[in-house]
Amino acid sequence: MPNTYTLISATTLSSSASTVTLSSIPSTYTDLHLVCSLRSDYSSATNNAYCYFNSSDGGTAKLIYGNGSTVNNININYNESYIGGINAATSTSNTFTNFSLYIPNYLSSNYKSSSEDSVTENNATQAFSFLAARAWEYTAAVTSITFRLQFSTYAVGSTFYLYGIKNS
Amino acid sequence: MAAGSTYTPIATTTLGSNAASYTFSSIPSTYTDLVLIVNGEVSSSTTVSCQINADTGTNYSTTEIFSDGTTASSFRISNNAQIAVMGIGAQTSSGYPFMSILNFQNYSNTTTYKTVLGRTNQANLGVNAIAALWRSTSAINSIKLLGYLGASGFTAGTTFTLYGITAA
Amino acid sequence: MSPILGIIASQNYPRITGSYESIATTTVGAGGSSTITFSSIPSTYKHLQIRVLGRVPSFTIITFQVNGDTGNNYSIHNFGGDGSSTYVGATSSYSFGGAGVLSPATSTFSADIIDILDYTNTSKYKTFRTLSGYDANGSGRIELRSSLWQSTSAITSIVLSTDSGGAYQQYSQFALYGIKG
Repeated sequence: MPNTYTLISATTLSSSASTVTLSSIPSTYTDLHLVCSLRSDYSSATNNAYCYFNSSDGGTAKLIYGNGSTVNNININYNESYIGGINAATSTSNTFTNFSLYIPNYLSSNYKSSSEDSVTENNATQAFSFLAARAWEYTAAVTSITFRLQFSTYAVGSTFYLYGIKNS
Repeated sequence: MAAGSTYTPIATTTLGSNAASYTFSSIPSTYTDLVLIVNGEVSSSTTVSCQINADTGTNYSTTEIFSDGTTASSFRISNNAQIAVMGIGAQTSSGYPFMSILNFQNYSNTTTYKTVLGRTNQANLGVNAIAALWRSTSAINSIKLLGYLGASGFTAGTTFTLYGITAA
Repeated sequence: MSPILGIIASQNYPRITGSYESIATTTVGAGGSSTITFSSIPSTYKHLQIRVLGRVPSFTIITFQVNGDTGNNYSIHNFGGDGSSTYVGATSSYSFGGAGVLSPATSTFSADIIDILDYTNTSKYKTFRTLSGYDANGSGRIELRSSLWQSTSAITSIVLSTDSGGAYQQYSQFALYGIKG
């Protein structure tokens, strides 16, 4: 029986970067699973982060999140690839957002649905946890994944792991 | 400690035509956990549900948290004839695929009831997470995905994939 | 594609097959167990996943300590639903981390999937992410929980306990997996 959960690429930032692109994603898998450990240099507790495919920024999403005090909602229609607030410079030191994005059928000719679970910890009342339903409204196969930020850069030590999953 | 590579595809199907339901049958008992991935569309407004071992009795219950991007809610359906994979609101035929990730841990044991942990997303509709119960100590040998609250099912192109995970 | 300056990229490395591996499993016996220990965790993976099926005498959550650290070096946050309303919580500078709910109902077990990224990284504190829930046909919870262990040490052991809900009951199961990176 095949073992089907396979590392495609692993990227670790050795210097700050405003964007990170995982490119040349092979077409030999069925699903993709992206797990990332993220932090920004921005001088705030969190920085808004975005993730999109094939250099085509934008998307539709429904997010539910907790901030340590309340449960909240975000509705995104077509125009944003927002994935949530990630750890930034004034959050607890050495603390990185734990991010997971599962993309089934990334080669299909339909819109691409994906499932996000992410947590941004902080040794204080305020911290953030997100569940998101995402869609990238393009019919092309996913060949690259790009991360960007609203402000500043991804910090040194941020990591991006891309796994491929084959269904047979 | 023992170590072994795992995460194995058991079965996969892509619908060639619309279908009211899809069943994984003759599921081998040789794994520890099952992970079921569904990605596709429904043929008209319906709600995706799940039945196990052809049990159509009111032996299921679901606790859900859901957001439509505006309002977060939690609800429970008890003594039900199926697991509500996404209970609030209906998936619609909209061009936006829905996706579900359903975990069935220790599925082949004959001592405990079976708990299902799941995430379902449809980006134009909402995001959810569920914990569900099948009140049976039988080993799981079949899983049926179907639509209810309507006569429709899944459209051609919908994919259903089952993976097995083996613990040491 | 050539590696980008300033980024260590392994896209050109040979593909590693079978990245998801089982490390160890514990199933609780007839007498129950107040703690579950994963020790001598190998450093050869990048991430860990713990898959739990849990039951206790009274509703509580999974708590944990890493590498024997009993100091107030943990924080916990969660949000979820109890079948009628949503809830949210936060705890900081605590002596335990938190990872998921546990079922108190007969024959009914919670399912908890705990993910820890970069667990051997000696420049990062360790963030735990758990999707967790149970349904007992009239009660239950579903939630996302996070926890932070404020140490840059590589994780070599994790002890799972409960937050005053009693011991893990028979047939509770704890499976540790490693994911290569």
